[in-house]
Amino acid sequence: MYSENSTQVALIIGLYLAITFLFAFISGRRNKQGDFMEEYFVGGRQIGPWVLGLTWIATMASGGTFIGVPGLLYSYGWSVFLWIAGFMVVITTGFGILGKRIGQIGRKTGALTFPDLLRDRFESPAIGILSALMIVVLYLAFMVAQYTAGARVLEAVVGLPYHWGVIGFAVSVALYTAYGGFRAVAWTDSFQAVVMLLGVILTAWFAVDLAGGLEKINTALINESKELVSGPGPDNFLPLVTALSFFILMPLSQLGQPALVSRFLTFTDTRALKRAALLTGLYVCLMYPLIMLVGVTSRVLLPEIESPDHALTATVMMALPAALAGFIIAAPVSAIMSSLSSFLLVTAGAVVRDIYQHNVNPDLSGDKAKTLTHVMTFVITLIGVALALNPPEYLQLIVVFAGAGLGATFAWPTILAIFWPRMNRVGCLAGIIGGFGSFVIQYTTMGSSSLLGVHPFVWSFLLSLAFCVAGSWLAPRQSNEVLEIYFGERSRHGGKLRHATYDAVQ
Amino acid sequence: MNPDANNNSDRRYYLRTRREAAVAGLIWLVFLVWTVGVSYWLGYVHNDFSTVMGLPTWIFWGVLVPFGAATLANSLYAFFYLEDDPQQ
Repeated sequence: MYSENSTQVALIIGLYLAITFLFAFISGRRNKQGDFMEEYFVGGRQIGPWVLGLTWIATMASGGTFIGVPGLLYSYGWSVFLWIAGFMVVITTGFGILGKRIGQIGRKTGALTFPDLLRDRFESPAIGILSALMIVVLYLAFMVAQYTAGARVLEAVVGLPYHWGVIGFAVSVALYTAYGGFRAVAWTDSFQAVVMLLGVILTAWFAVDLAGGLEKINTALINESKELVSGPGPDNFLPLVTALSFFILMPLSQLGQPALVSRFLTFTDTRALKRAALLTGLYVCLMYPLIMLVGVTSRVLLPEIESPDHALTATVMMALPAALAGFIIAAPVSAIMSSLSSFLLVTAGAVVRDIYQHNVNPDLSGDKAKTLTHVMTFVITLIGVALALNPPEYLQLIVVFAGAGLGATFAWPTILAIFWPRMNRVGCLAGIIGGFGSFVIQYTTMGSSSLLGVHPFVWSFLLSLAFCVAGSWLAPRQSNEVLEIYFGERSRHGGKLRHATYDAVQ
Repeated sequence: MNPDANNNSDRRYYLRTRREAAVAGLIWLVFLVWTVGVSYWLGYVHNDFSTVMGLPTWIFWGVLVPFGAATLANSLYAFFYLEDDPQQ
């Protein structure tokens, strides 16, 4: 459809892929000898602030950020900016609530994966297996959605047949993930995050300029429909209660995303975390408002478009010279690849570490661990490709569960595991089952607008908290050893665990 | 190392991170009220279709300014409130 520049664009994307491989190769060579698992899954816990911040952001920003969100802006105008505004506090909640504490616990307990964290805290292999299985199924669905989105971008922009796009994405990501593990994923993520940001800045600059400036864009939108510049937007897109729901969902659902939470197992110390929080905060503040700007501008530049999902790519191809366009199309490609590699790493880790090593072969290490991890990486990729080429009927539903559903399932079990000594394995299981079950029931019966018009995530998030607390009160605490490791609590007095006197240690 | 000292240090670290998490939650709440409140008032109830720097007034005061303020709050929080690990 945009064929006149497609060869140049394809060349630039090819060059970009070559640079990505170079990053993966260099970072893979830095992997140290020693414990394969620790190197492969958490980069030896030696990740510094820049890479931590950028890999976190690149994992969070998926294909949807560059394809779905501009499409929404194209359709519903400025109110989408309020819909996504929760991202303004996403770093404070992620790094502030979980980051520091997860990092400390990981260094102390040797946890390498998200299920490791829950399994060790609650002394429960069953919780480890349950969370690992949920990660495999839900992230596989997420991966299929990313393959599909990536292949569609390449199909629309350079005319690459869909199936070749899927295979190309899958093979390239599997290769560099298997080659270098977390370090390669983190380094390529960082490069991809830089490409994303530059791509968005350039697109916004050229697109707004072409449309004649912000005032003209706003006037054109008002002339088309006043609903595009006021709340709740066309078709009652964002009523007040939905706006509130999404300000809860966007920053808090990430607290239950295993791919993001496990990033906090990788950094060297709190100083690295603090710098990463600062960096990613600035990054988010630049990137998201500019994506919003591109989305609304595309409505003015391209009033007739075959699908709102083409808003960003079509604007890029229209507003920019071919060489630059190729570079910017690499931004959504980057977002897709960086999310894919993270999901692949987490999924392979769930199978090899959390299901096989913990339950079948505790002595797994060295070359055998390496071979098994590589084999699993390619097996998961193959399943993902097969599903992307023949998408199952309920794929989109599973993708929704993988996003907000995982957040509703794991956010409270994770938060309470690290901050509430009374939390135990019954509370954790109740929280997981209550959060996930209630989300599935709401979403399948009422869609994305549940009771009182609130998003199902919000109810499930609250229910999961209630289930965690109720379950924990019904069963005894975890062992003294665990409480000592996690909370520095040691002794029992009068049947109750006595907290070391807070005042005395201040 | 004295195990009691070690234990106290762990306990203090845990309590400190818990307080830091609570402050992060408070920051989220403040910006929720600001963003949704101001956007609703200026964009839903009293939208006069005016602009500030070319952007709709409600988007400017209700989303863009709090976005900047939240980023500043995040920077201050990360650099001046989050405490370094005790062992460093």
